[in-house]
Amino acid sequence: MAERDVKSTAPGLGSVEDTLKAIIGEGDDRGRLPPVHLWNPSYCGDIDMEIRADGSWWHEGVRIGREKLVRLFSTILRKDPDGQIYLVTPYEKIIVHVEDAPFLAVRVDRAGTPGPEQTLAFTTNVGDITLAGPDAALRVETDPETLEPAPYVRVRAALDAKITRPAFYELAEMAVPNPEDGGRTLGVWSQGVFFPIGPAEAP
Amino acid sequence: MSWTGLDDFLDRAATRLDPPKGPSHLAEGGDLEHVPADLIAAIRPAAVLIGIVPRVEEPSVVLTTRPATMKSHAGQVAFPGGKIDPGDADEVAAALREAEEEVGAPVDRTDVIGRGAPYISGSAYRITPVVGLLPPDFIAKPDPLEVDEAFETPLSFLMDPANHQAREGVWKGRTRRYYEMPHNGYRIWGVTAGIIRALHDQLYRGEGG
Repeated sequence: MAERDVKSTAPGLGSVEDTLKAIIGEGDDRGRLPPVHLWNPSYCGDIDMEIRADGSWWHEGVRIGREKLVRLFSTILRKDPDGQIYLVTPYEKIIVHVEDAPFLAVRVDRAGTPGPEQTLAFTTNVGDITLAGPDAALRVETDPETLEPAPYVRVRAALDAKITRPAFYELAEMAVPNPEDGGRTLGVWSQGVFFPIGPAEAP
Repeated sequence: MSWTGLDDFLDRAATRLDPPKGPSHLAEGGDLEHVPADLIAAIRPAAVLIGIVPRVEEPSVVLTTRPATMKSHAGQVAFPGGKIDPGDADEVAAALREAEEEVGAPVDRTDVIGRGAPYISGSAYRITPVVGLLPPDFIAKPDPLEVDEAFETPLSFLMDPANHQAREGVWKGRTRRYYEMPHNGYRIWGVTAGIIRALHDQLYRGEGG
């Protein structure tokens, strides 16, 4: 234990708890997400609700500007087996047209002991925090034409956050060679899982 | 200006109403001239919650009907609310407490946006309307002792002055003007309609129309 404590105070890295506290601050309500998985309202509608690739929310072409309202709606997002994302309440199920991913991961923090057991904590544009690991995969898709990487991290249930460019650059800084392919690819560790993020050298 | 959506409504409420805490600045309205002279010195503070439910398709307001057995305003449509108790920190606390008791509003998940102008009722209450945003998954749990039924009325309907019908009636020998905004079989009128009308005027009147 003592040795671990010493390591976790290495510059820039705090314990997972301290790091989370620093990001979240007071008044955290993440633990109180509505039980969307329990609801099966018979009514389903499409009212031109849209989440654009930049994470902004739009209703009938008008941007929803109020952050708290977007946050509230984001807590009732659900992705169903049909692949469609909905806003779900006990009374209604409303289609959401998602251009890319329903969330944006705008920040990444590294906590714990550096190495395989470190934890990467992603903060979304609506204030969720997701810890990459066995239950929250990080994946990088590559556009076959532009070869542009498109990184995502799981937030909850089947809902992903697109990792923004600045956060992805930070991830790249933390990248280490993949132990399984002799270092041909690079990746990052979080909670004992290695997530490849790209080739070791740009093509 | 008129209703253009919930986002705009909340922005207006946050900027035009009195903030949740601190001194209030909005001028009192209501039926002061109808308060019996012997009660004017004894006007009692009360508070109601204008609880906005951000239903995705149609944002709504939580209203109740009062049991027919009640002493005052029996059977009428009302906002959840009541008298300020000695234990209430302020009007906001009273409105939230009453709304929790009457319809099961989750106090810790209600975002208080602001306080409307106090409304003096003919029954000698000084009612502070508290505008609060409830969670989108809110389900009313009416307390049968205080509430006959809890229901929701679209906010867009209530914020449209075309639905505010001005009426007159003679009561105790005097002509009284009041508003009525019937919707879906519910007769919303009197103090409740007056508070809705005042909220509309505070939010949508003036400053560019």
